[in-house]
Amino acid sequence: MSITTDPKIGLIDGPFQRQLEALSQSRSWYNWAGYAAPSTLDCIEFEYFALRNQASLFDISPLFKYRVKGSEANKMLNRLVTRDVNKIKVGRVAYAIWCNQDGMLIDDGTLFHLGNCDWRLCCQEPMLDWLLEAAWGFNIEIIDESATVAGLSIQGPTSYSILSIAGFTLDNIKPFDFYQDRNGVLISRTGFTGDLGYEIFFPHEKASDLWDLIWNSGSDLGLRAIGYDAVNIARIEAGFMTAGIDFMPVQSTEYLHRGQTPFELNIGKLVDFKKGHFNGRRALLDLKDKPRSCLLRFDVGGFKPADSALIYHKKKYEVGHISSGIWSPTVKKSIALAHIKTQYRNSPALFAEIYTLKEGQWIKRMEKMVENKSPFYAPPRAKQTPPFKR
Amino acid sequence: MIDYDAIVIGGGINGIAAASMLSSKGKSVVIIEQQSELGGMAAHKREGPTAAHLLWNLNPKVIKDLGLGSISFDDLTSVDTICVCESGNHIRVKNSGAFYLDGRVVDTDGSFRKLTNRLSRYGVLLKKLAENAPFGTDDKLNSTQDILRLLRFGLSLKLLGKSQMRKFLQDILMNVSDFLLDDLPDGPLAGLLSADATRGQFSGPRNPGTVFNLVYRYGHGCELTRPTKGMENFFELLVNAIKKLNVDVKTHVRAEKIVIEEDAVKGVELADGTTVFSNTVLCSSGLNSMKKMVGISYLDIEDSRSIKNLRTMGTTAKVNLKLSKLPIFENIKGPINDCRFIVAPSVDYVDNAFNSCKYGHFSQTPVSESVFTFRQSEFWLSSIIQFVPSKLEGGWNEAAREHLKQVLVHSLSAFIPSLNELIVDFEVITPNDFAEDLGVEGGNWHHSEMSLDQIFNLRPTPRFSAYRAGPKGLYLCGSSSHPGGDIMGLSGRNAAIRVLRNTK
Amino acid sequence: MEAKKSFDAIVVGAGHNGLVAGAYLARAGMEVLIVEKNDWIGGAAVSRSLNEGWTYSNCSYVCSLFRREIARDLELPKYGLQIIPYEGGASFTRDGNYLAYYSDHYALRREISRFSARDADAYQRYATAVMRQCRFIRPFLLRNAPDPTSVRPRDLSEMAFLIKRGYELGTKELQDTMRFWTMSIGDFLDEHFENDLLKAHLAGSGIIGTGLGVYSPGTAYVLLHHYMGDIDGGIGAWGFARGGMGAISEALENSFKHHNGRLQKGSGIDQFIIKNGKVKGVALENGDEFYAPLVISNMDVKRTFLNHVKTEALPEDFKKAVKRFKIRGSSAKLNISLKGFPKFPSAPQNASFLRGDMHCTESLLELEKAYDQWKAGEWSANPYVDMLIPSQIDPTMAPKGDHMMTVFVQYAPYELKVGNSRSAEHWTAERCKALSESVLDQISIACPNIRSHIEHMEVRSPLEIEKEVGLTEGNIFQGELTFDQLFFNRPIPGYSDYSSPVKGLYICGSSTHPGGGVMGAPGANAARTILQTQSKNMHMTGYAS
Repeated sequence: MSITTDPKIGLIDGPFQRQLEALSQSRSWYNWAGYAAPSTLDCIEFEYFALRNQASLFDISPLFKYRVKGSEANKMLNRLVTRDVNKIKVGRVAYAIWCNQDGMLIDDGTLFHLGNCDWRLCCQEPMLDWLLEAAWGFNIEIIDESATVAGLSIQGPTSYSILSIAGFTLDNIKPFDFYQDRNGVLISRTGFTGDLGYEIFFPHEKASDLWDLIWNSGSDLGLRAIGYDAVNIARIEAGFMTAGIDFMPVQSTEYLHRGQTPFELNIGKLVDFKKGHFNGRRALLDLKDKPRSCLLRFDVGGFKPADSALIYHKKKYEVGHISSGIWSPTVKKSIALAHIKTQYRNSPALFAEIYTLKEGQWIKRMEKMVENKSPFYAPPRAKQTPPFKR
Repeated sequence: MIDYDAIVIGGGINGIAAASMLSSKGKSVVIIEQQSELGGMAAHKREGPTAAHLLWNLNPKVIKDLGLGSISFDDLTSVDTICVCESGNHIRVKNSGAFYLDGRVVDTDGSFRKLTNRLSRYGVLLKKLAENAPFGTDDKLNSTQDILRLLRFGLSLKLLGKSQMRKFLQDILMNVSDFLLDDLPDGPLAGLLSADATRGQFSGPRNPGTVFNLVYRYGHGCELTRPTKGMENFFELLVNAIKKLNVDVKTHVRAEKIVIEEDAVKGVELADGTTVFSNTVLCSSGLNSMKKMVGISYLDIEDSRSIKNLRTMGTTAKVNLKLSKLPIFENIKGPINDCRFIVAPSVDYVDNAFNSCKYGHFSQTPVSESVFTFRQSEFWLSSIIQFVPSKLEGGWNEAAREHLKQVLVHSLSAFIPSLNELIVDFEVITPNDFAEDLGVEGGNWHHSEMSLDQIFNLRPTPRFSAYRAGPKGLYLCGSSSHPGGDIMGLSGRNAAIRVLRNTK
Repeated sequence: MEAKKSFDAIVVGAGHNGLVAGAYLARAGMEVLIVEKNDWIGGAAVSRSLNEGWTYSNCSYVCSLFRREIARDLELPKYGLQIIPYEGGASFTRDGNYLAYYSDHYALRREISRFSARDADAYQRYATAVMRQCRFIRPFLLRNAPDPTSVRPRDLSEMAFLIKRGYELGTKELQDTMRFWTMSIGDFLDEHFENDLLKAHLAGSGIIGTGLGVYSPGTAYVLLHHYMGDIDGGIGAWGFARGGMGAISEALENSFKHHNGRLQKGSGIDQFIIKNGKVKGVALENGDEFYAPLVISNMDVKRTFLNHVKTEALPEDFKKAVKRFKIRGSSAKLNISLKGFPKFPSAPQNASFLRGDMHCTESLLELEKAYDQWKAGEWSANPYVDMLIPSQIDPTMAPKGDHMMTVFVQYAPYELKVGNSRSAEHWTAERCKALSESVLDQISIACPNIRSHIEHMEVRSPLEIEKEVGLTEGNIFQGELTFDQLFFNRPIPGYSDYSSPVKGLYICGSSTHPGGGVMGAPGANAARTILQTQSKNMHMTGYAS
């Protein structure tokens, strides 16, 4: 009896597998929450420039999505996340983070205020157990929508025009607003690219129809389906952090003390100490002024991507490392997100130790790093309402 | 605006101990108790005698805090144990010696005496731990005080001598069955000790860690007493004592809600609509009631999970039998109410009694501790009976209660053959009844199981082990905190000391 | 050549720990003799062919705990050792369903989701919690446990290491660790999961080989004991030794012989020769005598000191403590030659878990009931079975097209109760047969026609394991893994450094720290201690030093 693979092991199909497979020339799939998700479909450069220059279509269905509803939904969510959800109006989306009791970041995600006491939370990490734990004793209902709600992210300068052609009226939709039509389609002006763009959520059974609608609407506007590799460049340019890469979701850290506080990740402004108690508040009050390290944006000298480089103060003392580093095709710079020990965060003499392998030869460079306080790339079109039509 | 320096919720022994400690240091204190009288679980009663019918380990320091230096041998009568045997060869245990009723020595090789001596020796060590907050729970990690205490404890271990220390470090982790049977034959004496080790617990004698419970119970001097004038009188004594200490007492009113502003305690809202204000609240209830009063939003998610996971299964019921007259025992010398009667003929018997409890039944061969009491002109036989699950299969209906009573009477009949004819009335108080009357989760006598993973700095939960919980100014002083149950008052006292230190 | 009679060291018992200790000593330059009572070596790590064509891993049957440091130091792969990881496992239910365990993270998630979406999530939390404890404990395995009562420099330095590790954890983590160590596996699982089948599947590792139930405090540690191993860095992974567990012993033997070690099979020890409180050698049952200033016993502590040392050589306290050491037989074993491959009707086509560990228990209460029956002196009517068919991956184990099945059975008492008497003598052939019927009934939940495939079956009661292997009561760990018998309390308080009151007499079996399982750590630790304290010019080198 020869050994055949177990049918239940391996990557499974998402709602757009048929479409993506037809487009996949590079046949390069990666594992996103168990789904076969494209790293690239064709090649990373073209996909990236479609995103920044025309419009890109990216399947975000593998995100974890949870519905939180019931009379005490706001109360429970305010216990969970660090910002004040009472300030998020119906029809708005908000970026939110949540911490454990010790003030260490569990995950980040987006909160959609769908209606009175009705919310949706989208995040990278599975969170059902934690949400149910947080909901114990509250009059609310938590529904795991991960496998029933599909999502597409359409990003880029022509995304607004494509959706207009598709028949969606998004003229007054400002960043972090969303629009819901009667067929259960939700379009929010959000994204992971820092560019003009939208995320669309809808029930799984509508997946094919929606794909076709958008795909056809984009035919004259350069719409291109893309994989995660291109998105990754865009998100670093926008300065966004990724779970498991730029921060360690504390619940899955096996080694101790590998969690990080929002203050160590430079997102302390999302922590609202005035709103009342929330999980981790007492610890965060204590840790607020004692970050061990800090996640910062840097321009790195030279022309080589600096991913995973160690950082030295005065080329001598190791003081941190780069968690995300790329050559940015748009700003034409080597850029990086890096963790620096707090006492060195203002050091004028930080160097990244970059190794490159060229034809069998390793070359080591020490490149100077300069902190960049703003996002590396933030085009005005991302905020303009109504967006420019082309 | 402050009405009191501190509010104590719950007037059980720990609430009383906490209040008296605080008051003796000049703090103004009020106790809020939902029952009409103080005494909590120990004083709980319906028609018959109080739930606790004997005093085990009331700590001398607590008595001193109460200004009850006058409690003396006149007020407390020491109690002998009579191990009931089916064969009729009942055994009397007196001053850690064991005798048949005709006076012959049971323990001819002295192994029982040696064992109980060993337990007392260990007990002295545990007592040192019990009289202080657990290590490592100080607000500041590794405070010098903590380290000094740890060193001092290490030294007292060393002073045991090498071989004794080794023995201690092994024995304390053992299960009581192995511990006993290594030195004693299985029989009524081993049964007695294993019953004492598991009383109030959801564990059988074969569960590792039960030696700890035994040491704990025997350690505080190994002295078993009853108040000479009855338990009720004893509680009156306590009440008078705290009144003398100028502690205000509000009985018959429930603490509804703990008022919190900006993550700090401001007072307690009572069921009658009034609010008492204070920046410090000590809560002697179990954690679930605490959670209700504080509001779950003020607790971290990990903490509410710990509360949910707390093991609080009650296993102990009370059966009180009202008798037409006292049975006569020709071979028992001395007053009959100076004895407690234990039905636990062997370790195996205790283990079997526990087994059925795991599956939602009570055993047909239960373990019990019975005491005769006189109240006014009534005669009662007060029995603590184990193992009786709070979650009984089929529920606690009248038939189940009647059945439990019959099971008890049957098991006592080896000793009191005429018992059935003497009964004129009876009451069965199940773990659920305790839970209902007192708000004690699961009806557990120690608020939460005293197993190795729920004691010391893990009690009640690791994060609450510094007697602190949630918002600023909220303290835990009930027996769910270190060191735990057994009418000892130390949880309350330790919590009060923590309050005094933090408010210095 | 005249037989040599004097050696630097003699190891009594060629179990895996004896072989490890012997190999390390030989490697350091000692002249070492290992004596073994059976005609074969390996103790409980053996492969035997009791039915022609089939190879049984008679006792131990899977491998994970064996320390990689030892395998590397003793160059076991060079001497033929090959460990093959196996794929997942499953628990079958009476209503024709199953819960599979996959090492593929998301496949496992989806599988658990079939039973509870919440548990699928909670599994991550559970696995992280267990892994943290594994990481904490692993460095202690190849170190001696300090005697807390002693002020000897090496005890103090070990104590300092322990305190340092604890300090690094910080208060909260230390509390979590203490809590984990003192918990029952049942309570630990109840805190994480809601589904009974999942809990039952995971709980098995907490009770295998012990006289404890799933709700007995301390069983969470036992779980750790089964999880802290690794295969090529994959912590918690289990595998088969190619050729059966005897392959480990064989590789050890080869390594030992490569370093000029000598092996003497076929006659067990009669007495340790002791003069003036010092060990001088061993006298075998066949009358042979061998001499050495160092004798290391691979037998458990009870057997070593109560059966083979003259009682006047030992202090009274020590003897008493040894007598009190708890070794409880709680498991039995079935080794089965299968004709063809039986059908597991509920398993899907090509299910990988058929090549893993399979069980037929549905709830924790079922396990607890099985334990209650053991306490009462009976074998469990619905025993916990851990069954594997290694011949699917390792074709050397059975003839072509046929298979070998190994079934571990929990619980079976050593002293069986019949009427009012409890005795090991009650394990007659008929009762062994009756036991195997209970087990086969249980297996039938997963594999209803198992009986029709059986070509040959070896039923091993605790008594039979004791008689053949020399494990007291047939206990696989050479002593209960309870708090009072672990770390500095193992085997006897004050003697956790592998020594004994008899000068030169050491023990290296699983009844010493860190305990049982085919781990090799006790053997390596004993060898290291001996070389450190008894030898000036020879040293332990390598990763286990």
